[in-house]
Amino acid sequence: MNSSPLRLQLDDPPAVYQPGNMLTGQFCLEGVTPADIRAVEVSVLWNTEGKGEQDMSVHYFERIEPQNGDPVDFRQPQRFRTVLPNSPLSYDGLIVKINWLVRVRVFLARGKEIVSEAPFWLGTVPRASEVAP
Amino acid sequence: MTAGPLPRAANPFSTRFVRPGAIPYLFPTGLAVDTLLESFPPGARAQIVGPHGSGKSTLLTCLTEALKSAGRTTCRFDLHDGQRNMPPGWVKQACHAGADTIIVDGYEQLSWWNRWRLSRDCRRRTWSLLVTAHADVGLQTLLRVAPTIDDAQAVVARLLAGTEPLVGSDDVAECFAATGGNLRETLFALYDRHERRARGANNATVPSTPPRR
Repeated sequence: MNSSPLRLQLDDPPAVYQPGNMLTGQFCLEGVTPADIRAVEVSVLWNTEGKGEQDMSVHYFERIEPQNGDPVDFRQPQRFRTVLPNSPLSYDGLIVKINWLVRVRVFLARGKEIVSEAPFWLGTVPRASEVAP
Repeated sequence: MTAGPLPRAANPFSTRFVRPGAIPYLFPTGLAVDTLLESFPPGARAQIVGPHGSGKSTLLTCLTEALKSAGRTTCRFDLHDGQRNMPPGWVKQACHAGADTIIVDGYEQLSWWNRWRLSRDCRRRTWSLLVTAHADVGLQTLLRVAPTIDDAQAVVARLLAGTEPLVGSDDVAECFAATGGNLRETLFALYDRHERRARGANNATVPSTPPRR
């Protein structure tokens, strides 16, 4: 059961996104006092995972600071969209993987934070398979 | 459409789960971080000694956090690949940070001359010095770390909590023995076993479910 007050979803996500595809989605926040929201960050990023050091890069970033501008009602769906790049493509390797995801971080008063992530697949690089010795 | 790989649950032995700081250091019975801090007062110079992959860096990360909580200002330097010198400008960096405690991971890589200079610089500025080394380097020994198979089992149990376990205690015992008690290499070996079994258990090729985050 998902009890997080932050709801993040991609619009009709295909099984696989291709480079150049438009990625769209929305998020909303319920049950949080608007005055407690310091900032909200939306990122579309990739990171690596495996046995080595982690690497990552942000493709799309947007920061909303309600107290520094017009108040935003985060109970209403907030839209985001970006055109996906040519690389790096998602990869499911044995010792390294490349993951793409949308991450929404909500910074609250007193240093609290809520995070939600929506992974997706970019490109059609086949999964690596182990070569028998 | 060419089928893509299926996103799977993350490997619990990936770097992001096993790096120092991601998992807490499991102290031997009767020992706690507070006990170690009491043995490391301001101005002290101390070492944590242990072989490769024994958890020194994890302990150091744990102690660094505890020192910060105790009001100490630390400046940490990680030495790699036979680094014989401290990083250029390290004294300036420590002064700028207002440090009172210098932490060096991989101290044994420094040349004898540079160890002497580091000690001298710390003494002159009344900085504490805390280092890790593979063997005694002549400082007060805070702790000698030597993980046991029980430690390895406990670490793995913690990593596997809440996941579908694809490796068991027999795997841990085998890998721990095969790596000569090197906990880091044990976790890498378990990564490989988990990966092979996850692939064997999941041959679908079209993404359908998101990976665990």
